[in-house]
Amino acid sequence: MEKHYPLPSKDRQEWRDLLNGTINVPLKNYFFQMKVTQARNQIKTGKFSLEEEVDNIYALCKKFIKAKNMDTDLANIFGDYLQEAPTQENKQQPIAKFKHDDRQYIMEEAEKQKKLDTERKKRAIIEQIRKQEERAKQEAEKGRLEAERIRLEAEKAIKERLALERQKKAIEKTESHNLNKKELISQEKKQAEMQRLKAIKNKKRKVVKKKSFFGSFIDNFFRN
Amino acid sequence: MNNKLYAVDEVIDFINEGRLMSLSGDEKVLKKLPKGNWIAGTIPYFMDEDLGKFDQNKIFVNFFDQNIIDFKIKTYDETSIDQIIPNSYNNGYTLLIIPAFQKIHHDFALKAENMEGLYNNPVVGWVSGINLNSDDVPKTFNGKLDEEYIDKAVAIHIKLPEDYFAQLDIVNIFERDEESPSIEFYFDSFDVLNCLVDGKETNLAEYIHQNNIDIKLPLIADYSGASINVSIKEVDIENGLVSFYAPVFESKVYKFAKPIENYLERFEIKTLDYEVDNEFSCNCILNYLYGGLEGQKINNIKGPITFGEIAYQLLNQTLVTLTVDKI
Repeated sequence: MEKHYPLPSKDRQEWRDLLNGTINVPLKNYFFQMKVTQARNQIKTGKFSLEEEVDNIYALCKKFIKAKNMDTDLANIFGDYLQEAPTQENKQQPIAKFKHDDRQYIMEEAEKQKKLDTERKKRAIIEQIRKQEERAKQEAEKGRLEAERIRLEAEKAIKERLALERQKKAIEKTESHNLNKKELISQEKKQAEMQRLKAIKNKKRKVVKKKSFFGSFIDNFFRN
Repeated sequence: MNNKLYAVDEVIDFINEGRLMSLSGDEKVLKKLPKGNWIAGTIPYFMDEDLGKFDQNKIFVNFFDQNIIDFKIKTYDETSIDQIIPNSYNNGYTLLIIPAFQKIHHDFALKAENMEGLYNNPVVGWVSGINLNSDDVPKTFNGKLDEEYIDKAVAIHIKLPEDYFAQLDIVNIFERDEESPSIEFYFDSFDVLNCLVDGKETNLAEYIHQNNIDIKLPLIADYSGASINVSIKEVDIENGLVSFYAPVFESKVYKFAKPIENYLERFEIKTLDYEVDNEFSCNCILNYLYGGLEGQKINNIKGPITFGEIAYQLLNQTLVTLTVDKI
């Protein structure tokens, strides 16, 4: 039977990193390649927000999760995707059984019982001490867990800060590239280029020095 | 389902049986077909089950009636082409045929990327063409209405059961030449005068001419790992104009493709695991011509040879496939 892996949660930062370009792995599934490209473009142009596009792509990935190479792509984006959850076995201790019925045995048992009572008392005290120690241990564990929680929160905060910094850098890089491109392509220049193109296309082309085979055919086709 | 070339009489029988089909063939044979559940586009070049061939007497049939629960046949013009998305079903796919070199061809290519919901379901298809040694005109046919068009697109919208899904894939034998300069454009267009070559304003026609660039090689943009080709149609040195078979986009960075020594070998390697009978596939006329695919066989790949391929958006020099699988 084919294994089914659930789509990683929509809350995972990797979805956002994928769409803002911080995660920039080459994808393999054609739908995913095209959709990610479109989403990045629409976020850049302001048509949709990052969160809107995360919602959108998440819903579509759910639909096409079984498509070719989707599992590879998701594993490349989410490092822990496709990893098996560890299994644990609960083992029961065997129970020993004894059976005796002679008198000697009963006396011995009575003696044993006394010893056991003493032993029990001892054990009760030991148990009491153990419980006290256990409580102390639990308190210490609680403290350790609290410290671990604080450490993880701090780590998460650092990761989030780093992700934000990466995102900021990616945006700055894109903006700087766009600014550079904008400087080279001002609106006026764009308009002028369009006008020039229109004029040339309207003009009858007389000399065509280099043309693909198919281009020559199409040219003849329209001339006819 | 056996997608391949059939004689006209056989196709008429399929139509009379009510089969749902997408057809490709020469205009003269398509005109002989009765009304029915079919759409068609003109083209006489094919990859048939045995070989790549030119045939003006037979019709290539793609059957679409397996594992479907509903369908719609529609005609679109340039004002309604963006309705292909709202008209599609929640779970299914759309097969679209567009006539070459008409306004609708350009409009679809420029608009597709911004169509809302474009990636909800596969949109697959092709651009109809003609015999390259004729004065014919590329056409499309709506068999349901018994109409033919030179300026309208036709589509079949297919509804699949919930436990099936359709997926698109492409085979691009070209690779970006990382040594090539980066080329960026001022606006989305099929025609270009000036552009930025490595950030410097340059006339592209002059650049191609001066650097003796092989115009059989496409420009390639990277779409998150997918190499998307734009093929050069013409370089007009006098006017400094370069025309393409698909639009270049302002938002993309392009590079020229690496040269290819053996088209056939590349296709064979890249299509080794392709299914015998996928729902649909088509390949580009430029690959057919430049790669000498007539008389050749590429693994299990069958279908029309087209003047443009559609896999969500218009592609060039690319093989497109659609498969339907059970979840």
